[in-house]
Amino acid sequence: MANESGISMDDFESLMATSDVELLKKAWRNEKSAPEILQFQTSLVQRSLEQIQLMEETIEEFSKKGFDPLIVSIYQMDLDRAQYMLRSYLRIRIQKIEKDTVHIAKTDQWDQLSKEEQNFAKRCYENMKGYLDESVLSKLPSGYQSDLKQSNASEENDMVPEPNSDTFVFCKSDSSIGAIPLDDNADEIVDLVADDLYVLRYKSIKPFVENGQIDLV
Amino acid sequence: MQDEGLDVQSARNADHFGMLIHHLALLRNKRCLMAYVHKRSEIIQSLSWKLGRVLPEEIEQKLSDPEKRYFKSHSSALRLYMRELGGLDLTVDMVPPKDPYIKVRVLDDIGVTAMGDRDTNLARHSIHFLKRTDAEHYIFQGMMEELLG
Repeated sequence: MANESGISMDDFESLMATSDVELLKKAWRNEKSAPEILQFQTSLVQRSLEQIQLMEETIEEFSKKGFDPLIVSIYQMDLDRAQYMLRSYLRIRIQKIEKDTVHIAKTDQWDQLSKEEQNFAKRCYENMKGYLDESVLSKLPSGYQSDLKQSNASEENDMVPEPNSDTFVFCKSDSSIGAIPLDDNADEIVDLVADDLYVLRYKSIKPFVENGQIDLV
Repeated sequence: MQDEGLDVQSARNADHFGMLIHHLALLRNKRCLMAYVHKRSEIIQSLSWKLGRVLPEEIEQKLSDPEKRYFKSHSSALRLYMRELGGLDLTVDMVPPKDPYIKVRVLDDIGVTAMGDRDTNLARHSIHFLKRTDAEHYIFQGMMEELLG
């Protein structure tokens, strides 16, 4: 969406790499590939919403002023894509919340949700619990009615579905990170070279995804 | 002395294992039931994405009462979230947009409608080349279909 004129190609490229569209694309790709929910990009989403609004106004103005329809439609296409990306980003997150409501609510992932998402998750959990209670749990003997534990004898919540962090993801890094241990004992390590494509277990690269050193694709 | 000890132990074992089997059977049945119900709830969740707030009759017949209630409350939770976002509708734009214009076939007599700056006659079975944003809500209501390829 950056459309300043009179800048050199290099400037333009480095500007593009840090533009909100690129950042949103990155956040969207990461969210799409990661098995669990990532940190919500509050300010980025806010900025994108504002820019989309601005674009809508610009396009409206263009078509009123009688600009070339081709130019208007190119702008419209750009706007459509940005909107799709934002919607898709929010949608993927909501669907992850739907799927792992309880797990997210009971772990530190709760803090990675936006306020609206937390509200949604709360309602989602209440609905789900009400539904499970009505269908199954209220008919079981006491001591087995928990929706989180198999029975009162369980020490931890062992009825909660969890996202599978052992799953494999495609990933890439902008810079060489060096050796990464692939398991807890560091028996196997992999040397991450910049711009090479890897397929690794999500678990082993999770911290790097979180601090932005590795991108999922 | 030793015999007595054995006696006590085996007596306890009989009860103990009886209980254990009862307990494990309960757990197994609970897991099976929960898995089934949970799977159905996931399907209901995806329905509330695709269909909005009203269920078609042929699907509604297949749901139990708690499931119908769950569908209602879940889709209203979804709508509430979208309202909190400032009215951003997340249920449109399910596929990445390729072109701002799409080819559609009209499935129902819609009549003359203002499309952009001119009026278009949207007669049944006619084919049009429209702005995606204009056509989208007709497609959503099943009054048009997108022609692909």
